[in-house]
Amino acid sequence: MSTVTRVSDLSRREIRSSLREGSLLLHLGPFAQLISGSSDPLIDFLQDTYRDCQVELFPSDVTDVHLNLRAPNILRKFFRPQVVPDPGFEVPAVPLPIEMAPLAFEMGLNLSVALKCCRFVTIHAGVVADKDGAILMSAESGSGKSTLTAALLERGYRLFSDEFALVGLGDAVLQPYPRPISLKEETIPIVRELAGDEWISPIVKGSPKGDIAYRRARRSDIDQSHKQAKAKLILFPEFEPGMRPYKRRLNTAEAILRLIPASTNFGLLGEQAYLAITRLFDDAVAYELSYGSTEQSLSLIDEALQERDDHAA
Amino acid sequence: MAAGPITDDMKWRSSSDGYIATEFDDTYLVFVKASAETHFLNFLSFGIVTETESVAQTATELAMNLRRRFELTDEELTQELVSLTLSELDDTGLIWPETV
Repeated sequence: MSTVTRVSDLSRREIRSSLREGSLLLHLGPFAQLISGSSDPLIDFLQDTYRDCQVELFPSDVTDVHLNLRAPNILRKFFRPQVVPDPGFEVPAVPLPIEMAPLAFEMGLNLSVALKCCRFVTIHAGVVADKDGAILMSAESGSGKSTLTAALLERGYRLFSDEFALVGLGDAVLQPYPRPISLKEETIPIVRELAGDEWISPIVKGSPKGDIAYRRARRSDIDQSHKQAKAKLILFPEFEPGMRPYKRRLNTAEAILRLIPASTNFGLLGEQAYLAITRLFDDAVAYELSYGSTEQSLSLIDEALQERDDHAA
Repeated sequence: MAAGPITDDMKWRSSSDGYIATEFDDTYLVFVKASAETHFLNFLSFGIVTETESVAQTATELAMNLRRRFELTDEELTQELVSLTLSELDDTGLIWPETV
């Protein structure tokens, strides 16, 4: 019989055995993700960074994602072991040393959601929410999106996602998918300072993206991952050291045209994606933000929220 | 694919079945279903699309009808501007020359 339990309630032996058999089903947000491919670094990562997530060891239901973390060839299974994420379709994945299995795991989940999800419009963006609605932050990698997402968590916002805005088809409501926040290089100490040491995973050193660590999702965010939200603020943030803080309200058409290229499945969904992205702006206003520090970015967001409220009043 | 050089005897046609338009402050976002591409049109460009829905028109006819509709003079809306806009709209797939 299959039982849903938290990762932290499982023994290492149970996780290992389930990963070997390819029967570990991770429930997170709207997705059921079947994981296979046992390795010590992956088990360490799941027990540390995914400890509050719900899993099933012997699932009987359908799954959204099947991610196999496998060796690129038989030689690399035993001699200087390597791992590649195999989501069941062709992806350009570089084999990584087995110590970087956490990175392969995160990449594999990202690719699966980005390229094969048809239930939501997927937009590369960080999303947080409070009781009044969600803030969506769309930016290129390296623009400070993850740091800003992590900083907003410390202000009491719920984590929806650091990687994807999942926009409901039809209603354009945002769906949480609270995976760990990926931190690179110099953002690691910044978020460690903001969140506290206990919230940061061990660092994966020397990856193709440099040093990587993860800011764990809080148990409360994981447990509330069924609670959706309407967007209230859509931001296009850009961080550059020393930059003077700057904020510009965007007209809706411009903001939509900037969000469309950030969607990973717009071409797949077509008309439905266009309608959903347009509806995102039913209650939301959009801003472009530039800043040189986290404090500045938070002040600009406060100003934008105040302007939105003033306008609504 | 664009139709090539625009001549004045070409009549242009569009269909509202082929796109979804959303208006924002006199400008329009238009999603073209066939290409899954989204275009940002001003009132004149979108005016050409809507004008050619009911009846196919030449560039000269369009210029006359649009001047009347938007209350513009010959200098404000030249024949050249209409032809240029037709060429750009042709590239998007929103309008096409009617074949006889």
